[in-house]
Amino acid sequence: MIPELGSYAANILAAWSIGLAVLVAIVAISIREARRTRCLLRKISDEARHD
Amino acid sequence: MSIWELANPNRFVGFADRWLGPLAVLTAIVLVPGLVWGFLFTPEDYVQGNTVKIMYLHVPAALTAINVWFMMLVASIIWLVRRHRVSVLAAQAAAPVGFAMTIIALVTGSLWGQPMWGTYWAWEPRLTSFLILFLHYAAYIILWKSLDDLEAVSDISCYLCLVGSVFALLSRYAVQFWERGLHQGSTLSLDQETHIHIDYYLPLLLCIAGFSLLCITLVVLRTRTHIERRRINAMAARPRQVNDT
Repeated sequence: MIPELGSYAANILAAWSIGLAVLVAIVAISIREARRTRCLLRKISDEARHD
Repeated sequence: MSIWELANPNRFVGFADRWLGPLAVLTAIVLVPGLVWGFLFTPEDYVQGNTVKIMYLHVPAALTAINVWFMMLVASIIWLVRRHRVSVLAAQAAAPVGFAMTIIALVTGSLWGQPMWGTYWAWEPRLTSFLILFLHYAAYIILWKSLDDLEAVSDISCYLCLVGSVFALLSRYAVQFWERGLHQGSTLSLDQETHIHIDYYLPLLLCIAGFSLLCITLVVLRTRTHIERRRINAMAARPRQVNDT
């Protein structure tokens, strides 16, 4: 499935690995922050309502 | 709906809740096939060999990094002129996305340059202006983390954004301003009759569209997060105000 990358295979694979890793990292960090913040906001809103 | 309605934080959160799901699905539908097509199903270039496959990450990431800075510039000007809080939060939210894109563009460009130019780095106009843009992104993010005064940091970050726009412009047009330099001319241009071969052009367009959609999705998501964080801070501050009085 992986194409024949020739003599520069190391450069190509390194570029794709690092590029995709950074993309996945920024997506994962953004989703994690969004979920944590929304959970905290709900919790604080519920507490404020009960008070 | 007017775009100015999104200056209302409640409306922005409602907009984000409604459109984030469809945006994420559309991003996946465009980006994943673009990347798979670019990596697996594009032919070898007769000059660059298979290193041309790096283009499907490098070009979209570089374009997105520059465009995100211009989006931050527009948001900063809106803040300075109309004082809409959501606009400056959107700029703050966009900075890490642009920062990630500059990292991808610099690393992939360096790994592409080594076999083609014989060096990972050269101090030539486009590369240097892009490195300075990267440093501006880093400075912008550090600035937001280091100051507590919200009004002050909003204003200072906007001025930093204005200064950085010079280097974003230089990064975009350096290959046209200066003829000397290792970096090739623009891969895509609206005023050129000939582009790269269609076998490379179509997957590249798909990747650029995918990166743009990913960037929009992330900026909307992160702006919503920043708005909600402000609400949490405001709610947490209320009892303290009562206690103080």
